[in-house]
Amino acid sequence: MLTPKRVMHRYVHRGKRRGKPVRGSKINFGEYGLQAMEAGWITSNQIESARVAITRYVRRGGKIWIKIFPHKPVSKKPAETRMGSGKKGPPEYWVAVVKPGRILYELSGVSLEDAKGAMERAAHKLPIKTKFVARNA
Amino acid sequence: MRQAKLEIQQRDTFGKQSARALRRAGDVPAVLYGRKQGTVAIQINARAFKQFLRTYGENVIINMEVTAGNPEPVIIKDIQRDPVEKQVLLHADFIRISLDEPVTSAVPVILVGTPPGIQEGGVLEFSLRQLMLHCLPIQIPNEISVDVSQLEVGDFIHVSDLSLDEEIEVLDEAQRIIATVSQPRIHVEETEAEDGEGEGEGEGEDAAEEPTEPEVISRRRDDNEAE
Repeated sequence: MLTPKRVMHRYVHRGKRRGKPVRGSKINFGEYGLQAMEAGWITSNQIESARVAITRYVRRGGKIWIKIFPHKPVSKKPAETRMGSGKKGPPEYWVAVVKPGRILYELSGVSLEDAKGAMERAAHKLPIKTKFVARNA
Repeated sequence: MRQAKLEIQQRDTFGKQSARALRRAGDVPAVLYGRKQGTVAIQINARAFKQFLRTYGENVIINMEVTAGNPEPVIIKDIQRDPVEKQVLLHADFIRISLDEPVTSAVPVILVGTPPGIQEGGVLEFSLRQLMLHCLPIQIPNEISVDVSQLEVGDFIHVSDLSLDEEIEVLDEAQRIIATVSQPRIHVEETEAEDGEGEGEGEGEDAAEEPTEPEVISRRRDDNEAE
């Protein structure tokens, strides 16, 4: 699972997700990519789950790049705890903040059909709308 | 490098508000600069510009008439596109050049042929998709074709293997790999590990790892200062 090794602060604010990405919206390494069409938080579990889906579908050959990293901690109060009382819950999981246009995964060394199939299966694991993109499209 | 003409108009409105108005009206805001002459704000018809890019690509010398009857050679320095809808052009930068002075330009690399290593199960990896060349504008090739039809598994093509004109200087390192046919990475099926009891073990490991939070740098600094 992807998590940071070191962080500057234990908690961070929730932030805003407006706008479009300044970078990370081009296919840089592979031939094909999966592009986010809306903004959202993608957890480290979802990133890993989609990666496994791609790897299993492609099986032989192919190279995959994960273009996002969950830098943001999300805290949660323990179950059956009353609200308030001053202290927020501990960091529960990590998310990557994604904006529309961001390339999430890249893939190369496979046929177009295989890449489409793999990305479709990865898209099912993600909480946002995505689309398949190819470098020369 | 090919030469072409592009119709442009000067503009005298600036800022995001007027740029947005221009885009709504079907134009692309652009700017022209370079060669120690003034910066000129221009606008181009979006449809004509897209057609131009489809025909000539981005590697082209444009004879641009900023003032009527006085064409200047310029090249495209940068084109900004919408991150989601790539066909939407947001802005373009043009830079003036002299046909007698060398310029630095990125030229796309194209692979030709099918490596026999692929039949043996290898995977063709295309690492360097454009080369930085330094030469006279006229000598800049539209593309660089690299023949990969001899590549076996484990073979490489380096930048130094290219045969270009002597007058063309390649700015990329000679040892950089353009393309290689690598051994396939065979995905070991983790069905038992993930579907069966192995998954439980995996989860157990994750569960054991989860309570360990990442090191907080600011806290370490505070501790050091307190000492």
